[in-house]
Amino acid sequence: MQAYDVGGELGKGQWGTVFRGKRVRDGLRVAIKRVRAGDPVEGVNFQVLREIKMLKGVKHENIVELVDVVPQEEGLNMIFELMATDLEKVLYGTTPTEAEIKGYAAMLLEGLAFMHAHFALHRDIKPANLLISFEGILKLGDFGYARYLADENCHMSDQCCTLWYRPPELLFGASEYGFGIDTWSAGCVLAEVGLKHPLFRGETDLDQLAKIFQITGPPDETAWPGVSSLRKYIRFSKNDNPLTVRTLLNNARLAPDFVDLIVGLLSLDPKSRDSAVDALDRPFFTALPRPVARPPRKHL
Amino acid sequence: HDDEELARLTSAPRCSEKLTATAAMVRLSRLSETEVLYQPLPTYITEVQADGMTEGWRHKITVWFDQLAESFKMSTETLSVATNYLDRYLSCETCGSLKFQLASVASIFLASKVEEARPFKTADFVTLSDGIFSAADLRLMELELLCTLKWHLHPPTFHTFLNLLLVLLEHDKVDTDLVGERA
Repeated sequence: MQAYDVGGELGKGQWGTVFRGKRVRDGLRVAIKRVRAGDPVEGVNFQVLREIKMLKGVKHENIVELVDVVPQEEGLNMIFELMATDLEKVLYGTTPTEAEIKGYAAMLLEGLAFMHAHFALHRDIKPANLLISFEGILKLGDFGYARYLADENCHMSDQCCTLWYRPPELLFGASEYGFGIDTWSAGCVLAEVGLKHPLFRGETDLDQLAKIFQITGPPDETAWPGVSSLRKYIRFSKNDNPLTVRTLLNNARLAPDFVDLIVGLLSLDPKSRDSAVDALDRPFFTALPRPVARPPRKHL
Repeated sequence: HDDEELARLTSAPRCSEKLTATAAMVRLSRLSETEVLYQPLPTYITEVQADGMTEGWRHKITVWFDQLAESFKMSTETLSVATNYLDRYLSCETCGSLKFQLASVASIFLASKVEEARPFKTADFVTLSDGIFSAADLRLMELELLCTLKWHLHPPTFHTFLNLLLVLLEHDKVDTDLVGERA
């Protein structure tokens, strides 16, 4: 670790502590994620290994860069480029302009489009995992749940995505899933950006479904062919006072083309959900004001 | 407990995405780029190894990997990954017979953690090695391996290439069928 000067603590995560730091050689500002090796008997935690494997393979402007990995005593230091803040803090601590919001939306979808083109899933898209650099560039962070879709027979966990951002197919125990889980989460994040509060705030898996269907109405075989044969499918009764995502967002005075973008990402049936590339083609991104990336006004 | 775990895994969701021919082409061209990062030195036995390693050692280990895969139901992909880790390590470090064995064990241990749904435990290897290596030996070797490999843990393997080529062939077949119909 002589190559880095370790500074103050930035935060504590599930895996360990994050410190601010500087690379001695050139003064590069870094964030040092010190992960405990987990069980000292089992060596490096396999989830940490998989995160490193993924980060070494995907290099893109909208994906956080893993600069280095340095072992130390019973743990590991993952060295990342230092980021200024994250979308959650920007959203709840400042008032981003329309053009900046458009920029964040575009950068989130660019990052996802890149991952999906490389056959990788992030599986934990939420505002706190969307990091923002000092230049205002949004980058996908926290790859603890990310994985490659190695081949079509690979078994995948259904325990991924933070509850509020988890898509209905996972909650219904679908026997297969794909890129749609990230785009659903992205839709939830963008709605949250517009509304300034999370869209679906469930407390349990079942409650999460209830919260979703309160707004979208429960799915049927027409809207989502095959839904009733999913392993954990439960019939929800029709809501007396049905509200659609569209009316909810319109009522909150979101621009109509922004609403179109979000509604396209929040289709209950993953097959008819917009892909990240589809979403980037929406008129929202070509209409004025143009998307911009500006340095965030508040730092961590 | 193990049966429960197995049941959980077999009921786990599968991937619903299928590679298109274009995506397969893009991946193939990118793989040949990244392959360079993961290439062991073809002549490492004569050029790097200075403590008696022969072709025979490597052959023995690959046979042992195969047996392990069979008894622990590991995928052949994991074996290819482990062999890549070992070859790359041996391209940088010379090993006597004991260290060679430890590096082999650590390679398959690491590959199983990176690739397998049910990774090995250090205890499995302590037993398999008849107690020659302790859990601490294995853990230290794992770190040495990771640093030597510069944390590049995702080598394109024979299977990666084969899968992509199969996707292309499949699409090609569909296309020729269509052409045939039209003709």
